[in-house]
This record gives sequence, structure tokens and C-alpha cells, in this order.
Amino acid sequence: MITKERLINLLLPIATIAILVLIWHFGIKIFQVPAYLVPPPGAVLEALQRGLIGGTLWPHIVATVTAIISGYLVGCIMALLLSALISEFDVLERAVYPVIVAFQSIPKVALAPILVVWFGFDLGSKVVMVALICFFPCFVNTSIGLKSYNPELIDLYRAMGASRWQIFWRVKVPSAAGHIFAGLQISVVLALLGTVVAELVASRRGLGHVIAAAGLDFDVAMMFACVVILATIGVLASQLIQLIHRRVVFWESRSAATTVVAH
Amino acid sequence: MSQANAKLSLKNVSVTYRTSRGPLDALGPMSIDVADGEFVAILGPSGCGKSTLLKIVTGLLPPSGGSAVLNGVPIVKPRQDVGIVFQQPTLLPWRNVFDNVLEPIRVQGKYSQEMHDKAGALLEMVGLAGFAGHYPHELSGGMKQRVAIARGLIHDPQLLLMDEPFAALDALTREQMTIELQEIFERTKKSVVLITHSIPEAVFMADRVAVLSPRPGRIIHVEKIGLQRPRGLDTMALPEFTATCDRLRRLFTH
Ligand SMILES: Nc1ncnc2c1ncn2[C@@H]1O[C@H](COP(=O)(O)OP(=O)(O)OP(=O)(O)O)[C@@H](O)[C@H]1O
Ligand SMILES: [Mg+2]
Repeated sequence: MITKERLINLLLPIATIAILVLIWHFGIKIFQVPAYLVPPPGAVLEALQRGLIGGTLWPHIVATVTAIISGYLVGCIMALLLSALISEFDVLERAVYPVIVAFQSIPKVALAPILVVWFGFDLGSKVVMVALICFFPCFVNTSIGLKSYNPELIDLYRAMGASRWQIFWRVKVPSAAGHIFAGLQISVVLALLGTVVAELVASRRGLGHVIAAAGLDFDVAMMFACVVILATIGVLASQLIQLIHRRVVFWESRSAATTVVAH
Repeated sequence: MSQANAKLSLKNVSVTYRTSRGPLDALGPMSIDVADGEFVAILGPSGCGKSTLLKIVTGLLPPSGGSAVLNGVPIVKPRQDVGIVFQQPTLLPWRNVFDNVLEPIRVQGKYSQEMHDKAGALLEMVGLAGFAGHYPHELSGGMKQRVAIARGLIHDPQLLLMDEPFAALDALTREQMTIELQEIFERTKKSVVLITHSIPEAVFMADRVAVLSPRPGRIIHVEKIGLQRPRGLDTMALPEFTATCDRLRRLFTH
């Protein structure tokens, strides 16, 4: 029963995509949109084939995915550590939290050229860019999560004679799990954004670089192909996080929505 | 009762909270002793300081005045020989029933095969033998509270403190749990302090009932309950039971 439900849930969005592709296919025919503006789906498919089976795109996919994963890990681990510290030490919270929130108003995309100057054209600048973008959602959600415990549980643990360390690991962290995953979910999408921005600005590898290069050649079909690959990576990554979320935080029903703070 | 054989002894205990609107006298001064193996119920209007009293005994809150002594040692910080059951079951949602019961043992680093068996035995005692692997969200309110009671007993505390443990339950479950808890008490022979709003519940379970005044709570009356043990459904039908309940009820209406 459940598997049938799941199958339908999987097929419905695919049907939507199929319809959109059909509209795209016939739309450009009917309105006679020139192929150098919007390529037909067939041309994009052909470009995908060229890149994936021909193999020219793989090094770029690897470069992009590497940047996404490393930047994501760096940003999220820093966010988790810092919010843990802040939640335990009140002075630190009052000193650091407002500063981080203020920094958040800087559009980090605008830093991309500076980062390239500082960290070079390769992995370095991408990782820093992605880490910067991923940090905040993960940080804010974790901070909120670490405060969302049931105070009676803390009383109970103190009465048992639990140490601060035990209370942190046994009560606060599991209580925050739902919020932490909400943050990780937002960050994973932003990691994609950060990588592509860094690659568009200046890079020698990666899908963002391919898009920029194809733009110079007016190879719109290849640009579209890269966007399709990026979208696929994004969907897979966020589905993966969701799957882990559901497995790890099994006790929270999906209807009990966790707070999500984006930006 | 002399203070020498008292398990718990509170002397002129008072609590004043410092709030943004100035000091707030929440409790006392009040004095009461609980003997070894005695069941004392504390009855009082809402906000009179009952939970505050419990926090003192658990060592979570130092009294502003007076002294609290458990087993001859002043209570200055939480102690491991006290068991607690709150109004809400307060279970860990991410641990199953069995692990929830064992949690105090794990926290205190005393896990052993013996404790493992004991957790099983306690679950059987509270009627949850078949639910060891279930998670709290799969249980009813009454079942959760039973898990909390088993958890409160796992480390074999000398004193069991309960803060309105049945307040969140419906009337039927509540009555059933009262009878069950009564049986558990008669079997385990622990000292118990039960905080409650319910007069019949207090009279049915306790050896003595202490009645508190409105805030700041002071003891205005102590009723010794002479009802024979073991007590059961029949006890509630006794004229003596009804008369005692009536007498206590009058303390609140006047
Ligand atoms: N941490 C606190 N800070 C300030 N005031 C408090 C605090 N905790 C309780 N109080 C106040 O102290 C008084 C007694 O509170 P307490 O929770 O002990 O009452 P209670 O008898 O348990 O009430 P109830 O039956 O409703 O649970 C109340 O007036 C409450 O507002
Ligand atoms: Mg209370």
C-alpha cells in the first residue's frame, strides 16, 4: 500500500516535467522561437549526450560536485560547532550572535570576485564561497533547535545528577535534530548556488565555467544541458538530505513542521 | 514522630523568587517530616508553591530560608537517591520504552545486566511488558506516565517524588492509575511525596495528607489517614473514606 502511494508520488512530478517539456517542444515551434535563443529539447538532449557519453562534461561535473560537497561540509560543520558553543556559553552568544546576523545582510555573491583574488581560480575560492553561503541557515536553525528542548527534561536530568555534557548530548542535541536538518536542507541548495556563482565569475573547471564558455560560443543548447545537470544534482542532494532526515529523526512526524529560517 | 528516624525533614523552609516585579513569596515557611516508608500527599490550591517545594527536595532549587534534610544530609544539590515523576511524562521521544526506563542508570554510569533485568521487571509491574520496544509517540498518555513511574523507580530511590503525575490523564485512566500506583507503593515500600489537586486521590493513597494554604503555601492542616491497607476499590466505598474527603474539602471552601 505504502509503496504504491510512494510510486505515485514519484510519478506525478515526472508527469509534470514531461508536460512542461512537451509545452517547451511545441511552444518554440508554434511561436517560431529561434534555436539560438531557446534550443528545442532535442538539441539539449543531443548536447547532454555529447557531454556525458562523449565524456567532455565529466571532469566539470566532478569539479562542481567536489566544490559543493567540500564547501557544504566546511560551512555546515563550522555552523554546527559555533551554534553549539553559543548555546552553551551565554557570553559568547551575546557577543557573537548579533555580529553574525549583521554579516548575513552582506550579499555574499558580491564577494565572489574578492574571493577569487584571495583564493585563486580553483577549488579554494569555490569552497570558501559555498561555506560562507551555507553557514548561516545551518547556524540559525541549529541555534534555534538547541534552545527548543523541553525544560522539564533538563530538570529531570539535573535531578538525576547528569553533567552539563550529558545534558547537551542526551537532551539538547536530539531535541535540535529536526531543526538541524531543516538548516542542512536549505544549505544544500545554497551550496549549489554558491558553487555556480564562483565558477561563473572565474574558474577553469566546473559546470558554471562550461556555461560561461558556452555563452561566449552562443552554444545555448550546451548551456541548457549544464542547467539540467545542475538541477539533477540539486534534486538528488536535497532528496538525500531528506532521506537521512527522516531516518535519523524518526520520532518527529512529518506533519510536525520544523522551523525553517532561510535567506 | 521524632526527627531522628525521618527520611525527609523540612524545617521552616521558605522560597522567595526574585522576579522583575520584585520579590515573590512562593512558599512557606513550612515544616514537615516524612518517615521511612511513609506516603505523604500534599494538597493545595494552584500556585501555592507545591512544585516549588518539590524542586527544593530534588535539590534543583536552594530554599531561601530554613533547611531541607534527606537521610540526615542537608540537600544542597541534586542527589541520585531520589526518583521523580512529573505532571507530564517527560520521556525521551528518541528512545524506546525500555531505554527510557534505563536512562537514569545510563546517566549515572551504573548500567549492568542486573539493571537490564530490573527494567524488564519494572515494566512488567506497570503493565507494559509487551511494549519495551515501542517509542513514546506510539503510546497513550496513561502508558507514557507508567513508563515515567517505572523510570522513577529504576535506580531504587529512597524517596519517590511525584508532581501531579496523573493531572494530564482523563478521569477513567486516572482512577485506574491511582489504584495501580497504590499497589506499587504497597509492594515497594518506598517513602513517597505525592503532590496532587485531587482530594480522593490523596486520601486513597496517603498515610498522611498535608494541606497547604494559598501562596505562599504554609501547612494549614495535616490529616492522618487511618484506612486499612491494602487499599483497593472497596476502600473508596467506605464511609470513613468519604468522611475524610469531606472534611478535607471543607478546608478549601471556607
Ligand atoms: N522560576 C520562577 N520564578 C518566579 N516565580 C515563580 C517561578 N516558579 C514559580 N513561580 C511562582 O511561584 C508560585 C508557586 O509556583 P508553583 O509552580 O510552585 O505552584 P504550584 O503549587 O505547583 O501550582 P500548580 O498547582 O498550578 O502546579 C506561583 O505564583 C508562580 O508564579
Ligand atoms: Mg505545580
